[in-house]
Amino acid sequence: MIRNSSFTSPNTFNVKRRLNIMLALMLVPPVIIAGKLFYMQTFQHQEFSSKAEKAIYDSLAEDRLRGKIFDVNGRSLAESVRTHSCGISKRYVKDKNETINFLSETLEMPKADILKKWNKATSFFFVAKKIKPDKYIKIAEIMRTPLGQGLELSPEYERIHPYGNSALDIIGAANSKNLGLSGIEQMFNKELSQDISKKRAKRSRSGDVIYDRSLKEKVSVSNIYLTIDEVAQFYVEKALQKAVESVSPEHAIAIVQEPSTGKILAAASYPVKDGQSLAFQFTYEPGSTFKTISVASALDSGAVNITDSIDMSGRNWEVAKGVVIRDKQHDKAYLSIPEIMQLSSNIGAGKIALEMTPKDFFNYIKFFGFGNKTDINFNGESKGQVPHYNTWTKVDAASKGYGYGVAITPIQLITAYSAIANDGALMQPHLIDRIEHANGKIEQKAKPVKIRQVISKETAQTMKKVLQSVVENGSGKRAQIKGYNVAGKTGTAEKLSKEGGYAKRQHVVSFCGFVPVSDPQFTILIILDNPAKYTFGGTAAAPVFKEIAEPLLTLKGVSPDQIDFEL
Amino acid sequence: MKKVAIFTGFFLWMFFITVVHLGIVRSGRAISRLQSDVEIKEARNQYLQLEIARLSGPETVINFAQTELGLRQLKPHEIILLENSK
Repeated sequence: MIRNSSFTSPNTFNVKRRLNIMLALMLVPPVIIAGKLFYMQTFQHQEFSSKAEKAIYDSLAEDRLRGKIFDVNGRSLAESVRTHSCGISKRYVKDKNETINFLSETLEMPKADILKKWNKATSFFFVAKKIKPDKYIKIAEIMRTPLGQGLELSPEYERIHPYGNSALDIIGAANSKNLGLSGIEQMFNKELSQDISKKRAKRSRSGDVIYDRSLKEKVSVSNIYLTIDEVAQFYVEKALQKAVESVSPEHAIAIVQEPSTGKILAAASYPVKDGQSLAFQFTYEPGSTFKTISVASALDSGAVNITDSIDMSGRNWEVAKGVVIRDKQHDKAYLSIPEIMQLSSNIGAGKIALEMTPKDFFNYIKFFGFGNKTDINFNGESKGQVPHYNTWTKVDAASKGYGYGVAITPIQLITAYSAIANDGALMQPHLIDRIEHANGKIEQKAKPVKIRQVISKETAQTMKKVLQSVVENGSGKRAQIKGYNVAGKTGTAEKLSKEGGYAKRQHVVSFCGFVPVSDPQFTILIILDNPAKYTFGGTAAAPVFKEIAEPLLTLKGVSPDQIDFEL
Repeated sequence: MKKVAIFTGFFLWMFFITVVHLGIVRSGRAISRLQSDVEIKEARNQYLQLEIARLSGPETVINFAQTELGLRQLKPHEIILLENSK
C-alpha cells in the first residue's frame, strides 16, 4: 500500500493543532516564571538579598567565644560555656497550645508567662535564656518532630567559674556581650574576646536555624594564665573566712607572694566583689608593720646601728610641744633595736626615724615602692600617698617611723617585705604568668624582674634576724610554725576618725612576714580592717599567717629550717 | 513526533530536577540533624568537663578526704623529704 505523505486528513490536522496549542499553553507559565525570576535576580537583587539577610539573622543571639582564665597550673578559673536561648517563631508553630505546654513543662516555667510573651511578640520572642544542657537536649529532640516546629535554640556563652567565688575579686566579670567589666576580664579584654559580630546561619523550611559552623574556626582568642595557684588560693580564702567569722572585720585581705620572683600566689579579699581586689585597691595607714621599713632604712643609711640602744624618755616622749608619744607595753628606760621591734615601741621607731634626714627617709620609703603603683596594673590600683619630705614637720617624720601619715596598699607592703626576704632586692610583683595566644605562641609575663636593690644584703640579713626575734620573743608569737623559722611584724593601727584625729576603737590589725627565714618561699600579709571585736595584730592576724603558711609549706615540700625541734 | 520527544524530554528533565532537589532537601535535613547531635554532645561534654573541674578542685578533694576517708592534713614538719625527691 502506497501512502501519500502529502495527504493530511482534517482529523490529523486538528490533533496537531491541538497539540501545538497545548504545548504553547504549557510553556506559558514556565516562561512567565523564568521571566519573573530573571527580573528579580537582575533588577531586584539588592532588595531581596537584604530582606533575606534580615529574615535569617535578625533573631539570632550574638554568639561570641571568650578565652579562658587559668591558674598557674592550668586549672580553669573562668571559661565560657555554650548555653542556649530558646525562642519561638510564631508563624512556624503548628499547635500553639501543645508547644506552650511542652515548653512550660520542660523549662519549668508557668504557662501564663509564656503566653504573655507570645501575646506581646509580633513574630519572634525568647522564652528562656541560658538554658542548661538537660533542658536543651529535650528541646533539641522535640525540634525534630512537628511539635517542635517554630522552636529555636540559639547559642550564646555563659561565663562559668568552676571554683565558685574563688579568686573572683581578681578574675572579675564579663557580661553576655563578651565585654570584660572588671578585674582580669577587663584588663585583658582585648586578648580574651573576639568580636565576630553576629553569627551567620540559615533557616530551614520548617523554621529550624542551621548555624554556619565553619565560622567557629575563624574565632581566635587568647587564654590567660595567672600566677595564682588555686590550691594556695583555697587555703588563703579558707583561713581568711575563719578570721572574718572570728573578729567580724569590715574588710579583710590576705596575700601570698613568692619573694624571689614577686609572683602573687594567692590574693583574697573580704567581702568578695567581682574584680574588686582589695590587695591592690585598699589604702590604709599601716601602723607598726611599717616600722620594719623605718628600721631597715635607718640601719641601711647608717643612721643607727643594730647594737644601739634607744632612750625611751620615761615612756612619754614629747616629740614637739603638746605632742606626746606613749609606750604602755613595757617599763624599760632603754630598748635595743630588736626589742623596739619585738615590743612594737612607737617611741623607739619614732626616734629611729628622726635619726635619718627627712630626705633620706623619704627616699628609702620611695625605694621600697611606696607612693607609686606597682606596675601590676590591676584596675583601680592605688598608688597610696607619701607626702614629700619638704612638707614634713618633726612630728610627721617621727609618726611615719611607726606607720602613720603614710597611705599604702597591701601589694606595696608585701612587695617591700619580700625585698627584705630577698636579700634587699625589690622584685616586680606579677599577677599574670603567661598568655597563650590563639596561634599557639606563649608569651611569658612573669619573668623575675629586679626593680632595684633597696637595702644592702647585710642590712636585709640583719632585718631578717630582727623580724625573726619578733615572732620568737615578741608580738608575733602566734605566727610560729613548728620546725620553721618565721620572720614578721604585727601591726595595730588606729583609724582616722570622721570627726578628726584617730578613733580609739577602730583599728586596722595586720601581720606581714615570711617563711622559712633561711630560704624564704612565702611572704604573707594579712589585714583585718576595723574588726567588730577589739583585737590586735598579734592575736588576730598572726594566727592567720600560720594557718596559711602551714599547708603551703606542706604542699611545696619545704624542708624545716630548725634543727632542734621535737617531732 | 519530534515535538512529542521534546515535550517528553522536558518533563523527564523536570522530574530529574525534582528528584535532585528532594535529595538536597533530604541531605540538608540530615546535616541539620547531625549538627543538632553535635551541639547536644558538645553541651554534654562541656558540662562534664566543668563537673570534672569542680570535683577535682581543692575544696571537693579536701572535704572528701577528711569526711569520707578520715584523712587529715599533715603539718609541714611531719613530712619527711627524701633526698633527691624534689
